Amino acid sequence: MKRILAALATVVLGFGVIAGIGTYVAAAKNDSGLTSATAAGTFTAPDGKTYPQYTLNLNIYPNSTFGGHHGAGGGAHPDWVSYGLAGEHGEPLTEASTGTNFVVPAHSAVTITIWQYDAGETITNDFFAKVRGTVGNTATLVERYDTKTHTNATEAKTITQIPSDGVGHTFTIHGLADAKNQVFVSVPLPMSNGDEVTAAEEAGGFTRFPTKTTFTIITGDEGEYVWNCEFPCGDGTIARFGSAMSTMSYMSGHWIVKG
Amino acid sequence: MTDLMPPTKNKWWKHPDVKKTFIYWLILTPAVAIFGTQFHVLAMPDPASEVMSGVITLMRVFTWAASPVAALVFAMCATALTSQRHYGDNPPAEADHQISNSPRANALWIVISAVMCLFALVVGLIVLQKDGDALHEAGAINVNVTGQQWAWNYDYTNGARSEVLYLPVDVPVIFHITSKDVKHSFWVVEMGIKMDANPGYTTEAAVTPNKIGVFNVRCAELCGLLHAYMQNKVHVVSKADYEKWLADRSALEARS
Amino acid sequence: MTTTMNHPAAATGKSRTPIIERLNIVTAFALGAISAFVVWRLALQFLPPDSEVRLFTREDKITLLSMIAWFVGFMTGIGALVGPFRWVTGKDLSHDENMFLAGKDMGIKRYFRYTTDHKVVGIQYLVITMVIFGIGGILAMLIRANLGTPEGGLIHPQAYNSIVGTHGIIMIVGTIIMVTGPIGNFIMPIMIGARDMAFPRLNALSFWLIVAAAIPLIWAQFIGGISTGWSAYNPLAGQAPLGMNGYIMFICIFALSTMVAGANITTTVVRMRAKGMTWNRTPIFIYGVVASVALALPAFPVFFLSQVMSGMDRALDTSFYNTAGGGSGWLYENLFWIMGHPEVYVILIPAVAALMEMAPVFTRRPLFSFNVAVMGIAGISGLSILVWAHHMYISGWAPLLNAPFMLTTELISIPTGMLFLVLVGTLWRGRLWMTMPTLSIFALLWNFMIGGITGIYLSDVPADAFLHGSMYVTAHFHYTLMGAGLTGALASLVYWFPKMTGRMFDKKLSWISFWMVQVGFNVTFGGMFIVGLQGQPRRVEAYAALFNKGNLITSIGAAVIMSGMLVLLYGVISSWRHGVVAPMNPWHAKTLEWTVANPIPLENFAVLPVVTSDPYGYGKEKK
Repeated sequence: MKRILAALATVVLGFGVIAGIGTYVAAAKNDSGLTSATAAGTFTAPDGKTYPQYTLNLNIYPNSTFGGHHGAGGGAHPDWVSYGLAGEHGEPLTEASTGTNFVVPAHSAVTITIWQYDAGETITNDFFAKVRGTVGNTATLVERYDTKTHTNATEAKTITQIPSDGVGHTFTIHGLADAKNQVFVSVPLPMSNGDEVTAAEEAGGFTRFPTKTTFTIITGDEGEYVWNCEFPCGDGTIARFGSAMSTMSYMSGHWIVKG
Repeated sequence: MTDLMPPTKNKWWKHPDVKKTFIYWLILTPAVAIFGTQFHVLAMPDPASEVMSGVITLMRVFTWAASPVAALVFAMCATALTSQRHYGDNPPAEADHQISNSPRANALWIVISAVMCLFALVVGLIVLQKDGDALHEAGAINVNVTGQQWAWNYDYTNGARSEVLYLPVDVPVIFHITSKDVKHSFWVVEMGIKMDANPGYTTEAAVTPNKIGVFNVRCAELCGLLHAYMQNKVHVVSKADYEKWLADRSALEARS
Repeated sequence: MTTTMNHPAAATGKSRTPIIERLNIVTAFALGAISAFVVWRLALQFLPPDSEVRLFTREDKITLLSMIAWFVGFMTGIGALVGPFRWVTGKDLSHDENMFLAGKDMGIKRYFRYTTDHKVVGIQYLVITMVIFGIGGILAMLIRANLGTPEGGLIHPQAYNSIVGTHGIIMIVGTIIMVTGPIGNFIMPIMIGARDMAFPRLNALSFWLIVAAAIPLIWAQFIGGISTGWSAYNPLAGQAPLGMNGYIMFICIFALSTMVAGANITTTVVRMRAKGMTWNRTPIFIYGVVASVALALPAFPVFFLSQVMSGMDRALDTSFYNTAGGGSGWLYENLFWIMGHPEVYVILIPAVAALMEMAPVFTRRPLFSFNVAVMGIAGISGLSILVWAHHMYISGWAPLLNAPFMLTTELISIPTGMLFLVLVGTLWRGRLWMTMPTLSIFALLWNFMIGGITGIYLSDVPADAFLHGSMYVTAHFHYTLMGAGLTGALASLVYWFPKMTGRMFDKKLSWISFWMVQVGFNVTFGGMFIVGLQGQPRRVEAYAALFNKGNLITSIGAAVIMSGMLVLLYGVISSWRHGVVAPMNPWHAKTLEWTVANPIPLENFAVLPVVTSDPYGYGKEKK
């Protein structure tokens, strides 16, 4: 009898150890929490339907020194390219505690604005140089946005694609093909002027004139999807898909449609 | 080494254990076959191509062929378990024989395994040949499949590009598959075809969808962080709907 | 050195303790850690930056150099270099020093040193195997906790991929050593009537290499993990985080251990069997162990080289596996599977051979057809070298070779069938003595049958086009490696426990653990077959809702397995400490190890035995 009880105790203890390790693993490796899109009125689609509108502002930086969800100084990899939350005018939200996991409501219009502070080159797969999955399959691009005066230094224009040799990064949402909708949205984000980007980095900051791309997505049913950049920029690794590209909270994250 | 000698000389089939085993075997063969085939049928998706139907049939045939063998092994186990079981800390008395070999049993067993092996091989080769022929079918449409961490994209010959697959029913399609970075595997689940996407090479797979519906493509080779999400839908539609979609899509693509 | 070594400080009056007496696991870890740290700092300081912007190459170099320094430091610190050093300087070890190394009169300390006594090495292997299975098991439970959640997603993909990869490689290593390590080392020399193994120092080396290898693997978890699955396919491994270097080092060092053990075991069995033990009288378990290491000997150097090239691609920017540079990922696949297929038989054969050894004991009748058993083992070993590309049917590498490999793979079912014949033949008209090893024979037959037949489906190219890369494959290899392999290993543990520890394994606990593990196992991997057939790919951390039910069943089964293994763990510890003291031959078996009483003397036999018959002389002569 004593043996059986002792055996049972071993089992309970064992599971306790596992549960402890599991909780630690599940929590510790989770990238920064969730950011909800901000409510912003209503949106009328070209086909006449109206949706509640939400907005999300994001930046892409050539390195992680902006801090944000990586912490002061850029965290473990300050030299890695990274997405980060942005303020209204594309300024870095240095204190942001979350950065790359977004929660958006179902059956709504989500307008995303991305300021792209990095330079770029010729994209590896020009499928992703086209705007796909947004309202009208278009986006609005400002090639030079003045972050000091908060104005467009060049005119905003509607685009359906960008030249394949001037791509900075992409924002691509895709997900589990399931009984629910398949989601696919991909927007290419043009490069900012290479010389200006380099000069700004050497001075310890970011270029004054990033590109600014705005687009709207209509969300479907609830579901969990992911997004990642489809123009690899993890230098030094096979196909440049290592380092920042292979680590969540830099160039990839979760896209959760809920509520 | 003595040959197998039962109490009744040269009438080995009259030994009680042989009768027992035979009865267990008669019951277990259909039980195993039916359980095995039902297990497969209930779990596997409904086929959307001849290739997939072929796979399901192949597995059913192999299950039926293997069942007598499995049933024999299980029957002999059951006989042993239901004959003499002795519990306790001391061993039972030793067996009442010293049979350490039976050339007849060995030969029979080896010959039958060889025959089954040959059978499996021949059936496999026949189906393999048929699937191989599909790569050269006339009137096939060609789709270029590009795997990239972590999404598939498809290029049609008229310039249409898409992240979902649209295919016309009953038309053979040949996929030309490659990767932009690491190894992926292009698996059209319900159509039963799969082919790795290798960087720097193009591989081929062919199938004829024979059912209208929505099916799944899943990446079947670990390709990094978001491998689990590298999936998309396949829409098999009528030829007319396909032509319309193709035209719309290439128009969309041509837009600048 | 000619002073007596057995009683270091007292006898000689010499004030300086010789180095050979100071070296143990503590000095090993210390020297290893210090070497790694020193080289790390030096490399950080002096290694030139790379010419272009390459984020990983320099860090890869630094990591690899530190890990190599760890390895050299550890092996020096444990005393692996003592023997070679002495030999090189022309003053070999004295008899007393050899006795010291063999652990004479050292008590429990001998388990923490470079001890050459095969019995000590066997126990060391037993403990490390249990540790490996413990860690691998915990990782498995984490995987199942994640996949048991509807649609998965409990654990972050990065952590999950590393957990899956680490679970895989740890379990592969654990299953390779689980029978050959403890039983092959402790029991095998006694079973053949020898005093020790042919190369006792190599024996200690093979064990301590595994300990040395473990650290880079643990280290890897903190520098990004192993994100590629246990097969570490290139080019994916080329873009994996720094942890990949830990995998590379782990494999290289483990390959050395396997090769050393292989040379040792083979020589011992070929040259040191007792007088009169002809090949016809050699127990079938010995054949199993020799076949297993004989397979490992050519296979593991290939694995070693494949990892060296992988490391070079990362750190030195070569292009062995990188198509853009002129290489090919298919090269890696071929090299890996040339090792990978024989390796599963390295795992399987000792476990099945052990059960074949136990079968006559528990049916009290002769082994059925010893010759067929040997043919089966030899046939599997030989054919296993010719089947590797069945793992590559879908890779696109050489479609024309699919058919020939299908042939060789189907052919392997013939020698495999011979092993079944031997086992059921030994059950035929036996007097079943119901113990946990006996039940394990039936469990093996059940599990291996399922594993084998599902292997036939997979060996068929058209069916493989559906099944490859799905959870069906995972379920198949768990049925063979775990359902057959682990079952044999656990039975071996209970069967040879009395000889290794002098105590009987608690009977009730062995039965309870057996049933929990076996029932849990079938539920777990039955559920996994379901989701595989439904279309769930391997190595995914989230999945479509369609797979929820199957994954839930699998995870529940896994919890039952884990409970059973914890009961077993408790059984091992409590039986070892205060189990019933075992008689010399509790199973009334006829192999030589049961003729030696516990505690077993250092040199096993006072007088070396002479063998006059095979050990299967059970049963009564016909009157």
